[in-house]
Amino acid sequence: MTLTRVEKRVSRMVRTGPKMSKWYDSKIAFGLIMVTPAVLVLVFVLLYPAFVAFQSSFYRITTLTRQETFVGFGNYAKILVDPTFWHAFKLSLIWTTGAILSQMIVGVAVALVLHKEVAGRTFVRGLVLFPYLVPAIVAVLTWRWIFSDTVGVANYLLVDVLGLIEQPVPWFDPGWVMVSVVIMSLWKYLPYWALFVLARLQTMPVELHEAAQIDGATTWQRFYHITLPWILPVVIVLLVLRSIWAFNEFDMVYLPAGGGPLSETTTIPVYIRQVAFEIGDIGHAAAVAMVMLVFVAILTSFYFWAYRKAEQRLG
Amino acid sequence: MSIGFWRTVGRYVLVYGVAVIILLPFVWVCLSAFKPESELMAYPPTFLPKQWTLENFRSFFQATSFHIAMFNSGMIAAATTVLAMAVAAPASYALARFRHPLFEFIARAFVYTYMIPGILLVLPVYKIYFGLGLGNNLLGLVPIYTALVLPLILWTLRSFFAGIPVELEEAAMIDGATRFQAFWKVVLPQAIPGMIATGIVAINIGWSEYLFASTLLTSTSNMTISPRLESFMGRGLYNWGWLMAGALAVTGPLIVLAGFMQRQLVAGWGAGALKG
Amino acid sequence: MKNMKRVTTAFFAAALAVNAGSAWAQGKKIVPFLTAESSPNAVAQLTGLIAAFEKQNPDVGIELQLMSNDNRATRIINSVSVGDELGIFEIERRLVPDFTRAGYLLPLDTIVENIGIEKFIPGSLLYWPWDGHLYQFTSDLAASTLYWRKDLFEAAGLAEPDSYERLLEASQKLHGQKGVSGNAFESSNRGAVQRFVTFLWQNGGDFYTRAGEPAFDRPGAKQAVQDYVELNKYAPSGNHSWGNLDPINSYAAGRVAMALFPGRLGYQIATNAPDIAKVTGNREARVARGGKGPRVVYGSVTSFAIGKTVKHPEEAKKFLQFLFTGDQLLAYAMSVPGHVAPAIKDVQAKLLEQDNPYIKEHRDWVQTILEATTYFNAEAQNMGSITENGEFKKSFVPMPWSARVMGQSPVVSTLFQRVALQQVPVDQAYNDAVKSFSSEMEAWKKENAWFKAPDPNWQPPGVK
Repeated sequence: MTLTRVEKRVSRMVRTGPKMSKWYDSKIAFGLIMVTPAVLVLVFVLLYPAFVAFQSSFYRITTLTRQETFVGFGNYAKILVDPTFWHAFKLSLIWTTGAILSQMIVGVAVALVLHKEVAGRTFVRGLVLFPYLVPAIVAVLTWRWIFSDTVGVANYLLVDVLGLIEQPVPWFDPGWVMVSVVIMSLWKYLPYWALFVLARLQTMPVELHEAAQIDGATTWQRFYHITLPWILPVVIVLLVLRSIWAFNEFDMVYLPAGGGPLSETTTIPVYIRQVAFEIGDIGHAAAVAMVMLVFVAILTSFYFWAYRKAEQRLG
Repeated sequence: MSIGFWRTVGRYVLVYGVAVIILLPFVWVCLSAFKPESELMAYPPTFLPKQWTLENFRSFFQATSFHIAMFNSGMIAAATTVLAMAVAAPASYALARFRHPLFEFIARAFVYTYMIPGILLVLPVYKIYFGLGLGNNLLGLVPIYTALVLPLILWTLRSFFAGIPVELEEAAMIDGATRFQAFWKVVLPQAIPGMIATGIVAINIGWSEYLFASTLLTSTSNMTISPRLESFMGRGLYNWGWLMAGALAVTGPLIVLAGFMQRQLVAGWGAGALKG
Repeated sequence: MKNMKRVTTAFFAAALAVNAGSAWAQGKKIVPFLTAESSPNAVAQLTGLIAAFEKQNPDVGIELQLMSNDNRATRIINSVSVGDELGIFEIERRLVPDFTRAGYLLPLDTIVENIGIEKFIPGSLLYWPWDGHLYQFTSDLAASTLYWRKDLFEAAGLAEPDSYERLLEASQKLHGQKGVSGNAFESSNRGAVQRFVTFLWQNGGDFYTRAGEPAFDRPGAKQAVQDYVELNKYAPSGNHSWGNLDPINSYAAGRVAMALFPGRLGYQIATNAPDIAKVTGNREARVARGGKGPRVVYGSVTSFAIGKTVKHPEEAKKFLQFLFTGDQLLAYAMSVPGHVAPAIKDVQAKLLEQDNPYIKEHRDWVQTILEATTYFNAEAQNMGSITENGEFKKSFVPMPWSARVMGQSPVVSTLFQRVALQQVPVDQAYNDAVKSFSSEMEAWKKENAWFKAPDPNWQPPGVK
């Protein structure tokens, strides 16, 4: 098979669209039954409380006494001109970009490495999963210890043992603290990316690579024309979902530095908590969450649009 | 030495090297669990324990009965996985196959619900649950966790199902199977690698979720591991030895599970590899 | 598949069993008891004491609920806001005013009446000035002392640190040698207030007056800020994000030459870093110029409250009284020896005579700490204890707006962090802090019209 025929074959296999079979366009009752339990779970467990929260965003509700005062769009108006909110928003963007890019790049790289044929590779793959399985609290406390300015191993290695740098790295200073937070998340979540991409890689037909090799394609060409398109659907799905996750993530951002120092890690979820429990207004907090929801929805719509464009190009 | 030999060596170094780097902090934690508290507080930090001790584990389990929390977490993790898979597998299959706009809408809707931040839901859920008398009820967490991971599982599972050729179930139906039987007997086994990968997500949330567990579970005997672990960090006192012992206790069972599942994965791959 | 089915059924059966099993305890009257204690000894002590109580009172069950410091406030606020049962809980200082005003707390006057007020160390009980009732029961008192490395001081020919000048000289001389930092004074959100206030008060400054008017603009306050900023330069660089235990860790690891901390530090280093403990001195903290200024140091009263929604109030009060009196109080205080002082006179007297290795070896430390509990002050519990003349007259008026200015991001922490991390000039940061203290107070007062300055002559019962 020539390279172009291989490519065509890949794209045909990759397309997540429907196969042209008539009965999937009719007989949707079967499909609906399959989907119903999932929909029910979602409506009752997520949508109903979300609706309650949405309602509360139009009130001022003191956390302690639960007194409610109707303020209409007052909360929203307050938010849009509040510099603290926009600062948190900016931090959310920085955090999301940093976390997702690093996790994606390193995660895919690790998946490619783990895909190689070595003895005991099943074992190695299992091992690599561990950081993901460590609960956020444990991961954060461990890394806080590693990055500690007094008893931490990181600076000890970098300065005293390896002599790579002169001064210890101030891991929790403004400017560095977000990097530390991204590193902690990278460590914890790259196995997640690696796992999914790897599972997808496993289903990649070996003959495609063999054929391409026979045709004289280089490693890079093989990666770019075969592997990459093959894993792209999973990567894009993960990109969308993980971005949403990153925007909403609370634990991994709050636990390292409590939103500090000087609010340098107060992303929007951390800010919501601050509003709810320190400023003490649940209605305001709900409004912030709603604004965030709208933004993430817009972002996701953009992803979907980009995905459809990419699909068209592949086809 | 041929180039092939060095290539192989290079490959091993790369694979195992990457694994070692990723695991290093975790290995550090494991080793630290066996160090006495005084060594944990010392500087410069040690890598291998100067003194090996089981005291951390002993005092940790004795003082906190952590095994109860581990059992709770295990139960919730299993229940969540079962429910999530039972609900998600048929749904993602349908979403992968049916092109009807209604299904596109549902698929999108799931992504949008995934955007709802947990922190927004905590207080309403808390209120609703306590109102229903379900406060401090372990099993009450299961529907919540299922709902939290459902969009994620649905979407990733959907892309796995889409990768399974329609021809397989069409062939089964020609042979006389019903639509459901075709799904159950033919398609589902093909999707096992994908299901295991997504199953880990469900297990993980049940095992180590913090926000909802700490809010809804109030009695120590009901707590799952994350809130239980966090409760030891009281008065800002980090008993490092306990933290390390707890970390091992918490990841140990999952290690075993992951190891076991790897074998299933390999079996699934064998079946799933597409030919010609 | 079949195996999976069996496994899942087993799990669900177990789940049902566990859930049903917890119902067996319904026979007893259950009182929840929340605490943030986490040291292994303390938890074991508590469990033992609970068992003893349950033996004496077979119809009562005490359900121990451990939670972390961070999560505690959220947990309690959540409970309260949905009307859930809140039992006995260790109440955070900054929640006291709001909770008391909102009527969430059970009055505990009867407990004191049962024991007799004269048995308590004067001023150890926290009465609510605005209605004279007791809503929290004291479990212990804690106060800070200064720990310093005698060996390092001797080697550098430094005198004992009993004044600001000597603190500064030692910090400067010892800083940077062999990985040691001068001191462990911190600018973190958790620790800055506790370390700084000793400086504030000994320099004659305070946050507010007893009547609730701003006082941070006094010259003493400015001096204290400048001194503290100067000393902070010789603390480890990451001290702005320290948790509660980092001062202890850094001292135990031999990374700092001085630390200002309550008794827990002493116990920890004696247990886990005996080499450091051997060369450590423990003395009263004198931190103003020339070692002058009122005799006062940071300390606090830890207390437990009972939620009004508790299902069995009488049993709850009974347990509270049981736990924090007599031999039980002694056992409780001994869980981390030398860290806390019991609030009951005869129990405190017994503390020094205990047959405990730490108390035996470091009796002088424990004495210093116990003595400090006679002249401590707490910023949230004793508002305006330093008068205009710079005298220490302990007030028993809690700071009603402490949640705003001493909460998760205290005004002083922000002050010190801005100076250290953003190079804001000290004067500017100080002036901003003065403004913040004022404006936060005004904002709170606007929302809480009930507040008026308490009677200047009011003293809680038991104080002469």
